[in-house]
Amino acid sequence: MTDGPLIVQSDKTILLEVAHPDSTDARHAIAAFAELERAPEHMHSYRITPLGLWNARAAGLDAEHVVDTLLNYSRYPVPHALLLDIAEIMARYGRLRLEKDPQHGLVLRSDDELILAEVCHAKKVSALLGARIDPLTVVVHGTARGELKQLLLKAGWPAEDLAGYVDGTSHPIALSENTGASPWTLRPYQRVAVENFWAGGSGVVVLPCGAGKTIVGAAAMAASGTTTLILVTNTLSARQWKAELLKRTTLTESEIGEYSGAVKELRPVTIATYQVLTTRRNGSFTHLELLNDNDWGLLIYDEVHLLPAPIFRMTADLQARRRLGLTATLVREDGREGEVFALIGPKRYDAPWKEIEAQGYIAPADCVEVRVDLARAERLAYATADDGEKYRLCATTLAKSVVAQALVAAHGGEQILVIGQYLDQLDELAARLNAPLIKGTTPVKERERLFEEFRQGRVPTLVVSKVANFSIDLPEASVAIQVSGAFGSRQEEAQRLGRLMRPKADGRTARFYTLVARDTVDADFAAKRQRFLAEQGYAYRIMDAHDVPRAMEGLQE
Amino acid sequence: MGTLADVAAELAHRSDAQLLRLFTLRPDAINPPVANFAALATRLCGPSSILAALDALNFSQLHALTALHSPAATGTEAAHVPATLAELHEMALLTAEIPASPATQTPADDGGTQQFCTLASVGLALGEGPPLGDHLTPPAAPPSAKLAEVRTALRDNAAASAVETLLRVTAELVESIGHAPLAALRDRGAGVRTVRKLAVWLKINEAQLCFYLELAATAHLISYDRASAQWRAATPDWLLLERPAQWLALAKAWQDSTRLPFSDAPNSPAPDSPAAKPLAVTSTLPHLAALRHRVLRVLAAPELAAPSRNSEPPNTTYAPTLDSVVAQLAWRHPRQSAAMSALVPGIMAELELLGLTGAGALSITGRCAAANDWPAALAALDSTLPEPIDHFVIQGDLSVVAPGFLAPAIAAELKLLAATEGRGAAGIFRISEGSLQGAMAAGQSKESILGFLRRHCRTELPQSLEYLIGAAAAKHPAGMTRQDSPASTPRRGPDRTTALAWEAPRPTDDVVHLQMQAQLAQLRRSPVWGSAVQDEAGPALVMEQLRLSIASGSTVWLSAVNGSGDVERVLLVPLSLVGGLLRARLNGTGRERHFSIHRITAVEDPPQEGTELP
Repeated sequence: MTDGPLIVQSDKTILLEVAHPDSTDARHAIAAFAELERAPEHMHSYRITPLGLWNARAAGLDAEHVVDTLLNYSRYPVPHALLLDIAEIMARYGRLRLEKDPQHGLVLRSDDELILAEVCHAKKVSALLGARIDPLTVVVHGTARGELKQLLLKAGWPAEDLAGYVDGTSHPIALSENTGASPWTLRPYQRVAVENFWAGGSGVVVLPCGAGKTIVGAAAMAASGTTTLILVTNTLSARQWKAELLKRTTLTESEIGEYSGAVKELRPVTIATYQVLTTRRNGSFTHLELLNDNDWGLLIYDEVHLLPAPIFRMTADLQARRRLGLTATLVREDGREGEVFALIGPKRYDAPWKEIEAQGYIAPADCVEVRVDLARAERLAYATADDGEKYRLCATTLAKSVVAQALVAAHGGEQILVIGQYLDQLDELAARLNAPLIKGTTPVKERERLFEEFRQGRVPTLVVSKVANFSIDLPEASVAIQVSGAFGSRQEEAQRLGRLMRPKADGRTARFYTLVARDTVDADFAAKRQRFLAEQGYAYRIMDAHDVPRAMEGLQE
Repeated sequence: MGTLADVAAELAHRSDAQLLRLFTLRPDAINPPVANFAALATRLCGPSSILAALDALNFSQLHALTALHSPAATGTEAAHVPATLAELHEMALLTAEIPASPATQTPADDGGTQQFCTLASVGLALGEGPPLGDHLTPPAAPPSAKLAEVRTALRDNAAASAVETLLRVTAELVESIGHAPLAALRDRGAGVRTVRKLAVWLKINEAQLCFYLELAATAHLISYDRASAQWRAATPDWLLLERPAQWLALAKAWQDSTRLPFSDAPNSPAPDSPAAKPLAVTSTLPHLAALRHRVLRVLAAPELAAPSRNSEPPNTTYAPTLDSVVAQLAWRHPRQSAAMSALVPGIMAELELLGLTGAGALSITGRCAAANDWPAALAALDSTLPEPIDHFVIQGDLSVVAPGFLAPAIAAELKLLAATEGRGAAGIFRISEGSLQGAMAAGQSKESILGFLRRHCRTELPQSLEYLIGAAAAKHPAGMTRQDSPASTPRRGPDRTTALAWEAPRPTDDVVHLQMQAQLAQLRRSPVWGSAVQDEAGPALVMEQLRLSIASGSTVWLSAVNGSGDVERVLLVPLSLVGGLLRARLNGTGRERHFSIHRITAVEDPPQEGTELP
């Protein structure tokens, strides 16, 4: 037994003691097969999952290596049953292989007749298969590659995909590092993320908001040197991508197309919105052709945690193309993380937010929960309301507006976002703060104008609805006040904090206030929402509303 | 064939060393202690003792003994290996002829020239046992074993982690049964649903849980309460022991356990394995304790544990396959081979759960246990089980992590204000507004909680935690506490004296040895024959003498209690012994008379000519 930094629990989690001198080595060693689950201040926890282990096999590690890593770094004995499980699970990978047969095209091959018989027996699987060539080989329908992989994974026999990728149309792209007016270089973690992705073929890169995911995308495009389709959440985001690509790569205006509700341009690099792809006309997806139109060499899914279900299905047909998923929070409220894994690919890179913060690449953030009391009348209304109305009632209490006003006043001179869910509340706040409001009905042009004003510092305070949850780059925003949200959504909370995380010119700490009505469902949802960030090491302070003025005085000093 | 009288006389003739060896080989014969050699002979010839002794025989011993008892005994000289016969004699399954000159010679001095007699009771028992079948010619050597190489580090890791899990889960189990006793079925067994629920809660599989439950009962950590028909926690003191001592208590209890094994070994339960019900009175087989000893010993045998190979890789131990273990045991104890193939898989699984084997190879503690060297086992364990820790860290997400085995007293106090999360070598807990309010309701105060956390938390308390403690306290003003919660008074920590006192009553090997010496002294003090009437050997001797005189048609003096309670002495010739009645012809009158055998107190040979009647 060593005095290692790891403690391997019998419930298949691994604890990593951050302060241990060997913790960095140990983290790199286990990252190959264990999923980072939580990264609070002192003890990070990883989970050993079949997906992670198969991933490790795909990367060329064997069970003995995994077992040795655990034994070497573990402080206490490792549960033997877990070691046996690891060997057993890893042995399942690659017993089935997807291969290109010169005569029959895509085939599923096994070294064990029984395994092949077992999986072929399943109805869903057999529907994707063609004729049996010999006892160990069966033909696979060309378009079924993704779905088959997904089903085999579910059945516990993950197929090793040796059928390879199509090259796509070649289109040279290079990064414009160290050139131009503001020279820049790829950050070390971005470089590792791209290398991991490229070595693995396809997969997901998880980086905190503001840590430069777009640049990772750009670097992946440079590595690929092919035509690329980028799927993003909305038009604004598409334009931000375009601006960023122009800045970071050798690509020119004419090489980058936007494919959105407004414009339909098909260029070597095309940025399309999820929305336009999922638009139906007469019951069919009219723009889906886009995916197949061009011989794309690379597909990039921005905010992959939001990937809508139809795109999931389409992606299943795109298994022959390299896919890169980008996200800050691989937490799906719909629990479809497994599908992201199967269809886009495994997680190729993930770093604790606090680690990136420590390197100075994202702004440090101070999260504060301010508890307000409902007025007597509000309390009565709340107590007698239907369950469906309760959250709205407590989340929109007038007390929050009062506190928000005090906070905005206290942070004079800073760029402030006030974020909420309910339009009545946002209207009231906008009027109270004398600030512009951006909501779903605000035209794209107007949104762009207001965000630009905000970036330039001409508008110090913006009131925004959930339209600003994602992908809006507002580098100098340093204060966010969240008055209400989509119930207990962990990823919304994280994304909203993310709006503040671009490092500030003066190195200022970002402040994220979330206003919560005491002793109501609002408080319960808040606790749930904060879980993801708390597990990333963002410790919320809690403050009573009546303490806000005093705390603000302290802030000013 | 030797009679009881012959056996008693021959036993009396044995040396002290031989007798002590006999006591070791057949411990049931002196438990409880016997009064004299006649009583000892009776015990040794009792059917249950003989069966137990036969079960312990290896192939060649059994083969020799069977040959001696077979009708064609004359033709089986090949089986009469002197060494084997001497072993059988050592176990008192054969008697030796006492040399004519009664002076100084003991049978052992005669060496190869020794003549042995068979015993009638052994012959009867052999007839009842399973036939030796095709293996009438014993294999010359034990079957060769199939061994898998296991890295020593892997073995040690597996064994140590098994011990950690065993102690942690057993403690949780006992604590849980302490809070909520386990409902029992009519046969005292735990119901299927109870078992399932507990297994889910403890995050272990059901077979594993059944083993821990059985072990807890065997070690008297839980006991059956007849009145409520529940299993309750019996010895919370065990919880206060240091962990090596806890393990020792469990391992020793296991070794002497006659409970059926529960197994999740892949090849078991064997189709004919007895259906075991956890905690049920019926899940017991008397010879299981002996079998557990034997499995452990056979694993320690050189052919399984340390085969000598030309190029033995360093840091390697060996794990025998299940079949190899069964084959070895079958060679050593052929009469039990059928039972063993059903039970050994379960016992092997138990060994793994106890850390006596690790990854199938005998562990260091296992080797000590096989040699009955418990102090050494304890020392080995001491170095692998880390000391309890007294600190934890609290993080911003309000999770509390103790990076190791948190001292039970501290863990108990922490559990009052935090929910347990996750299981393993480290303790993980989570504090929430709800858990804090629970603690307040159970009588804790803001000061007591903050005090406790600050004492043991290695890091600064998160601001939100302090806020939440204050908020919870504000909702539970002083004086509003519930006093009925038993959880509000955590047990104090263990102290060494309790730990030692708890161990004390178990007989140690020294004690066993002293008991044997005392027994020997008692035998040497007493005449070979005690007073036949009071003596344990009495009824057996009476029956034997009656059978002998029926066979030979000889006349005996019979003493029997008549209807008015007086003892009458009659000279008669016994004719038959059927249905608890002796039929005899009275000497002189020639009249037949029946005696109930329970009224017969003594049978004596008629006096030789020229002597007085007693």
